[in-house]
Amino acid sequence: MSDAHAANRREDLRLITGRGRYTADWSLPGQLHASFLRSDRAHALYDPGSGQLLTGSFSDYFMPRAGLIPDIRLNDHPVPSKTNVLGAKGVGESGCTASLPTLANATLDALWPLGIQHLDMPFTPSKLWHAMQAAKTG
Amino acid sequence: MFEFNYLQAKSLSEAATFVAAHPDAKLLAGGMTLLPTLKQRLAQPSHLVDIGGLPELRGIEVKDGKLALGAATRHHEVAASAVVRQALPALAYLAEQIGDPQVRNRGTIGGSVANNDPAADYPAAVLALGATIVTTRREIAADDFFQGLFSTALKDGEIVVRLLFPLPQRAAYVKFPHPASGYAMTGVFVATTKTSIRVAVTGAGPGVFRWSAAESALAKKLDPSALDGLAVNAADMNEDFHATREYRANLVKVMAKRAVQKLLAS
Repeated sequence: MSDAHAANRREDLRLITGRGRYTADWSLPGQLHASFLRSDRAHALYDPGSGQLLTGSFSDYFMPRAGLIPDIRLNDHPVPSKTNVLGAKGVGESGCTASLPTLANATLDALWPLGIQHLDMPFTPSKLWHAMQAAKTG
Repeated sequence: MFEFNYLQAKSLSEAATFVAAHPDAKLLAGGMTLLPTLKQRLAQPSHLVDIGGLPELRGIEVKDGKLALGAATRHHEVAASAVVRQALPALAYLAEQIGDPQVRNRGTIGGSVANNDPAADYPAAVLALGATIVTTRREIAADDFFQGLFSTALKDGEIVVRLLFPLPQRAAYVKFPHPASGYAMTGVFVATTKTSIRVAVTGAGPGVFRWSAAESALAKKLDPSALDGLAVNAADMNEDFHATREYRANLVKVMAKRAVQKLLAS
């Protein structure tokens, strides 16, 4: 059905209590720590043959947990951007922007003596082991 | 989840009657495998027969040189039991490594053994220690009990009642946990008695298995270096997106060496 008339909508004032809060306005202690943790998978995985979802539950899809995060200390060092008059920058993904390249650099630093200069995430134990085996035999 | 009927058994014999009367019934103890399976609609039992609270399935005691654990004993109870810690500390340690606190406070040893998940921890201990599985009908030796991927010697309607672990001279368990599930990516349990050494591997293959080449090598020389020249066949190992079969084959050796090291230090 196509009808150009706007719905004659009425708010139910009983539901407007003013008690709600926008989650974007919350800042809990240690909240930023959570954004450093990543799953070892950036996306869902399907079996290409059967179409079966392989990451169908948290027993297959790795969910990062608070207990896995090491002690990290966060310091603020704000530097205004020079590209706009406000000096503003987007920091929406501040945690993973730093943590992923840090992890990648640390991993490659460890593998460098074997001659490994490039490796794509995820750095699963299995993938690292194969890369090391290939470097040793190759 | 599909619809089912819930039946709480008041005794083991009543549970057996329920299961006999309803061929599509499933036994429920801790439910740590069964409930997620139901939630994902991977099973559709007509009835759930709850045996988790039966006194006949409980109890931890050492008798005649064996540690007896009731099938409904929860992982946390095994991990925390003074009796188990004293008589068979490697088993208490193993129980402490299972899943997470929620799973350990619900899951039972009987459920784990009857389910025979290829990556479950307990089957490695049961097989390496040569335990006996006591059911409502008979006693089954560990070597005959586990029959590969989710298969056991249990017949329809047969219920695991108790596990009897002969006390070893020394024993040790080491596992590499799966990052997502906490199951064993590979776990190795090593146990020595006066006359034998047994090595059982879980998580790596399609079912728990004894690594007989390692047993022979360790019988000659009980040291991690005895395993240096050995390897399990990668083609027999499991593979998934977490780890290749070659990686798992390597893990078997690494975990076995660490288990022997731990056993020697115990």
